[in-house]
Amino acid sequence: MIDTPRPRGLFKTGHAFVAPAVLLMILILMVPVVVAAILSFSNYSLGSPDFDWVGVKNYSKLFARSTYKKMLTASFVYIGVVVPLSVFLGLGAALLINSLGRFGNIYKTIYFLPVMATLLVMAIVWEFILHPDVGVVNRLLALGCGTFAETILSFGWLPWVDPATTFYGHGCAQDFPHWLGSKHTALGTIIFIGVWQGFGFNMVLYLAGLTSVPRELVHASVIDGADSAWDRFWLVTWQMLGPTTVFVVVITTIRSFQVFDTVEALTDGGPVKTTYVMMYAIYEKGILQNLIGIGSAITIVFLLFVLAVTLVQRWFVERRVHYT
Amino acid sequence: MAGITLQNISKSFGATRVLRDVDLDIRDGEFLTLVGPSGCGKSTLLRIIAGLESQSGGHVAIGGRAVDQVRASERDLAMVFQSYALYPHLTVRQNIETPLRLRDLNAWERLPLLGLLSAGRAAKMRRLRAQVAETAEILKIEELMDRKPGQLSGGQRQRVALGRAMVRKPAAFLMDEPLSNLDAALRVHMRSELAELHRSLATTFIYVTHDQSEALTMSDRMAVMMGGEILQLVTPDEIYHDPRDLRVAQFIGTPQINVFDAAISGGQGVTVNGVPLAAEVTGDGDLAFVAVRPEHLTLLPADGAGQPLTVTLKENLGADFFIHGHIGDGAAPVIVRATPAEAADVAIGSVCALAPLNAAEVMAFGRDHARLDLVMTGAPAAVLERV
Repeated sequence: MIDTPRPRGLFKTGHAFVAPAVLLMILILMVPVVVAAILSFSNYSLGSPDFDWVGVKNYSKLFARSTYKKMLTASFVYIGVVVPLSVFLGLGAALLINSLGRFGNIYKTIYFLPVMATLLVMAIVWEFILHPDVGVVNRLLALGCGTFAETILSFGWLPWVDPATTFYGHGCAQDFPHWLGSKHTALGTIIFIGVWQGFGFNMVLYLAGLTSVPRELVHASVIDGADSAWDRFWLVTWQMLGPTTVFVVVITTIRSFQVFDTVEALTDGGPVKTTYVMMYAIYEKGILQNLIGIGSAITIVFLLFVLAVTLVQRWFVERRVHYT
Repeated sequence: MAGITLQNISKSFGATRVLRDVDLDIRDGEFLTLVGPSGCGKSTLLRIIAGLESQSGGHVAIGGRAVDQVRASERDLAMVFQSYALYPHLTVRQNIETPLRLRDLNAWERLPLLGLLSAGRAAKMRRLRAQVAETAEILKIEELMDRKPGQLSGGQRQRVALGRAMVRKPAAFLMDEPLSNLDAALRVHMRSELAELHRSLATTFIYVTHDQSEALTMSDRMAVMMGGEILQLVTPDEIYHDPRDLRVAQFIGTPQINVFDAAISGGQGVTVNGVPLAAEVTGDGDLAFVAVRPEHLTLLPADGAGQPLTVTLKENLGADFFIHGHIGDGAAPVIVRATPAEAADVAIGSVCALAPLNAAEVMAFGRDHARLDLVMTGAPAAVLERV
């Protein structure tokens, strides 16, 4: 850089102009994180006059106690299923809508509705739908029992299958699952609602991405001999959607890390902690039980995961998906 | 290599008719240019030939084979796009390889990793690599082969796009304004290179442009299109010197041809702006306009015997000057080509005289824009001494 003499006053003015922004950023963003990081080494609880430093005890608990192992399992299973499913469903819906002429806008609205609706309200609706006795789902399933539907759905027509052991056969003989109350189905149900709620958002992002696929490039691939839709998708569309995909995956991952409303409304982390996701654990420890220390420690781990995801995104953005 | 025949091609988008019964016979090995203002349907016509768009009516035949029901990839044509349309995620080598891979390898052999297991793939890939290398050598882009399109200049991308088109030796090349994204100097250079390429490949080229200089310099024949119709299809020389339609005369030639109101008075005698011309119209036709190229007009000093011309602008092009002005009270705008010596005495705002029109060099057009034939009566206007 060329060393140009600058009037002192200008330097000061410049700092004065950025000062409010910097100050706000420190106060609102940095200080809470630093405070959380400090508190995570203590056993502080809100309102109590004194507290002790406990070193890394909070963190060692996190990785030793089975509750927190369950927490990490629930969070990662949730993310591991919701992210790929909602990304691919979003892409699929976007491609289908994009190929539609007339009814595209109707489908767009329908798929986007769950995104616009308040998840907490939707969760209550789901609670009714999935209620073991009066819920629509189980009532509907029970309707088919004893009819030809049971024969088909219990797979009794396959010679090697015992109809009583299949999901439907078992359901008819005994009970259909307590979707939110059984440890076998609770996380799956929460995941289903997560995908249902989230893929419309990804669809909208992909629809925006699809408008930036140059028509000439698609034509070039047709002339070059990409006859099947799959060839064209693989050679042009998917590649051009690279930046969108990275963004969609990152956004969905972070949103999945943050899943809270459905868990709090429907399962409270249970049964047997199978839906005890990180955000709910932070809420339960830090707010409900006033264990600020351990709550902060989970928060810091949570932030580190999100940071890692963001770094991976940066790496992708710089390395691979931008072509110009 | 093949000739291409279009019969009664029409195309409508909703109620808008973009092409109106276009007939076109492109000879084998010919460099044919479709030129016209934007919106005249030239790109649509090219896309119909390519099979990227289907015609509303009419037939396309390539090399004598009807291809109306044949998909784009099986028409054996290559296309160069205005934006080059290179695959941005692939290297130059992979870009040029793509049409060969899509054609010569089956779906199984194209699979990543798994494809490597198939038996004939290695031999096919060797053959394919050789073709790519040969193309790269012709276009002198060997040192760019491992770069991505984003790292190339406009001219280099243009070459890669040509390479991708050439590599599979198509029956004909379709080019949609391939030079319009280049800067002026490179465009002139690529013009000669494209002409050279056409000579060495001896393949049919169909070239779409709105730039008349590209059409005039490169084509064997050019078709001037307007409003979804081909107005005239002849050699560039003929288009310039013998346009059959006033719109063709006005579109081709820079600066634009001068158009004067004309009328017939006393039998068949022609008057231009009220001044009699030593010519008669033969046959029927409602004479309305007379057109003269700027190089066929002559300036006289102000006291010369001619129509007074008020000069409004002098354009200096180095070897030539273009004098813009108008006759009388700002009515008809006129452009005259002058040598620097002639232009030296002309000042903006001054009044010169326009020499009487030479009947041998004017073209007459009817009210429907169609060309009318003129015969000279008496001696052509005397060759006046230049200023």
